[in-house]
Amino acid sequence: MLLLLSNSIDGTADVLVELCRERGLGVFRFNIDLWTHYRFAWTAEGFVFHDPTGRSIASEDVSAVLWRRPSLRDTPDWEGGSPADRIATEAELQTIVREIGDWARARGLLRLIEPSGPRRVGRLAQMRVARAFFPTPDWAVGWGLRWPEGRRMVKRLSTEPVGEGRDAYIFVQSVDAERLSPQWPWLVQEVAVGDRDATVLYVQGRCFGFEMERTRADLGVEDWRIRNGAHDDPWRAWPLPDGLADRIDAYMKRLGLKFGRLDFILDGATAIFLEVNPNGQFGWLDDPQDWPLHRAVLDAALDPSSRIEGTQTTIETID
Amino acid sequence: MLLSASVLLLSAATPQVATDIVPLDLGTRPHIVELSRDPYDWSLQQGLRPSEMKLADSTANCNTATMQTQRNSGTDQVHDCGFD
Repeated sequence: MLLLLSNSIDGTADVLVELCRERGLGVFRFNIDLWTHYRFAWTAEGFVFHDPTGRSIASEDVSAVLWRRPSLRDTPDWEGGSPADRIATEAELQTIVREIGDWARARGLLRLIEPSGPRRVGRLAQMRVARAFFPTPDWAVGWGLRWPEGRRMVKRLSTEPVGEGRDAYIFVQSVDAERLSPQWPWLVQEVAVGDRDATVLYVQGRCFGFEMERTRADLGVEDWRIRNGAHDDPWRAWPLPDGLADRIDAYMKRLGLKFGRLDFILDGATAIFLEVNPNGQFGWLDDPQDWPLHRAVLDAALDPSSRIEGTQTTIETID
Repeated sequence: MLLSASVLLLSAATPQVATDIVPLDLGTRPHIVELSRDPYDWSLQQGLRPSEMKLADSTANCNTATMQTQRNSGTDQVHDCGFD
């Protein structure tokens, strides 16, 4: 039985469950934000989950584990409990789920998505390695200096929200670099030449390319991700230029990743690498008639060769 | 072309001035999209999406997913910008 670790608002997990049902595959979904609705016990002999319908999964029944979005950070508040209870509980819950992932990895059952991938393969590591495979914009990180004059992009190294209410995000955007306060750390990148965004979903060696139908100029944005309702901007299949799929495959192997969504900006036929998201979302790109992307993810999750070994590392070349 | 790290550090860190950009100046609050008022369907192990809602509503980057729930007798606003 497939154990799907996620949350209750994960639309991709909804589709995966549906596809399992269609195939007659057993699946048990643990939604971390609904944890109070489940019953759970774990001893040296193994663990068991029960959900409110009476459905259950025991550790000996688990044939594969897929780490989707078992995070309390971006999910609705769970029922009950005071703020103090939450502080006392949430780290414990996150740790239990992480230990389930470790348990699965030790048995070759953790598949395709590496829980620590987003942290292990950070922005800087992925950009350093990408230079060997794709055109990439120059970048620098620093503080205690006045940045050279010129229009440059500012990116974040992390995805943490900002502001007292932690309700704002710093999207990729261009600034006059010389105006960046020397007192703060900044990730600064040259503005990539290009006009159209593209993205590639990588699923254990398979590449699914998409590009936006409209250019950034048409949209009036510097980065499509800042657009609310970005799914209403039409995307279309993008046949990858010759050799790009091979380079993506080699790049992902260098990073030790079996899954991810890579973002590019297109300058004519040239794909300029921007970033890779080791647990990137892809649902809005899929065809709801047949769900080919979700099917590819499910196929890979069920394939023992997609197991996450725990020995993955990023291999860098010496420049 | 950005300069090397050692050359970048040759420039003195001039004192901050009022027109300098600090991180909060670049912060944006995402627009809120109401996703669903429906409870989770335990029998199907799926969230209930109204017919007019697309999967994209909960998976496009940097939408703000808002779940109007009864949990804790309040409304939870859930951001998914942190995901990608």
